Amino acid sequence: MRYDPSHITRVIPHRPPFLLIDAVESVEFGRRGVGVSTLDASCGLFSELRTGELVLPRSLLIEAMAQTAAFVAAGGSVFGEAGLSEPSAPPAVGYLVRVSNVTFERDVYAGDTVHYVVEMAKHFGDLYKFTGTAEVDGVEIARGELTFSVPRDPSG
Amino acid sequence: MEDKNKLISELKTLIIESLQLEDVSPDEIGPDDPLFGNGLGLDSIDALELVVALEKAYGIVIPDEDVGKEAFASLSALADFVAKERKATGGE
Repeated sequence: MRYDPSHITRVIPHRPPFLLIDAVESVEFGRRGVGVSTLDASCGLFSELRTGELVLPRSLLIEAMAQTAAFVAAGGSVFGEAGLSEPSAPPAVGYLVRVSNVTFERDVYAGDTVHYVVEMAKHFGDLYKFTGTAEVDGVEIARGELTFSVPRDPSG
Repeated sequence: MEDKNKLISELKTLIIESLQLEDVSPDEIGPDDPLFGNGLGLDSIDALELVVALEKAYGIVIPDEDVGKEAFASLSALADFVAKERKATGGE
């Protein structure tokens, strides 16, 4: 199952140019998923190095992992655990509250296709902790841990 | 009692290392001090990290906030909880 931007924007509030994933694949809602993104030079997000190369600011790799994780965490309430069924509920609103143990191995250049592999490590109370990696051509280029708070609906 | 004191000592180290409390020494954490709020001052994100660390170190699961509230009341309460769970799962 592949979820495209028309599905993703029903779950998370991000919109172009700040919607950083083109698709989410291999989704098990509440467990894991893989965000996919290919950004071209015209998207306005790249920084130009002295060499003339365009690189994606590294913080945006973490943001893209977070967008993928938010879709995996909240998509089940929208599409159903099994996938693309009729929407069953509006998505919960989540907040990224901690980013930790982040490492970067190399930059992302315009035209690279990046896969963001996220997996839920723990759910406790209102908090969800994910591990995430970013990969280009099957090689890990960044990793980190992301914690979200999803406050429960006070109406129950 | 000696076993409990040893476990409390282990848990102090676990808490300080897993939560990266670089400005806290083990001696500053009293066995009956509350871990959250006015005691050690931990918050809900620390609780999540502690749940993960306890699972990794001892293989014990804190399934929800109600159990967490009891287990995280103090270091002494946490030691009792860990000892009880290890005994129940044959880990001791």
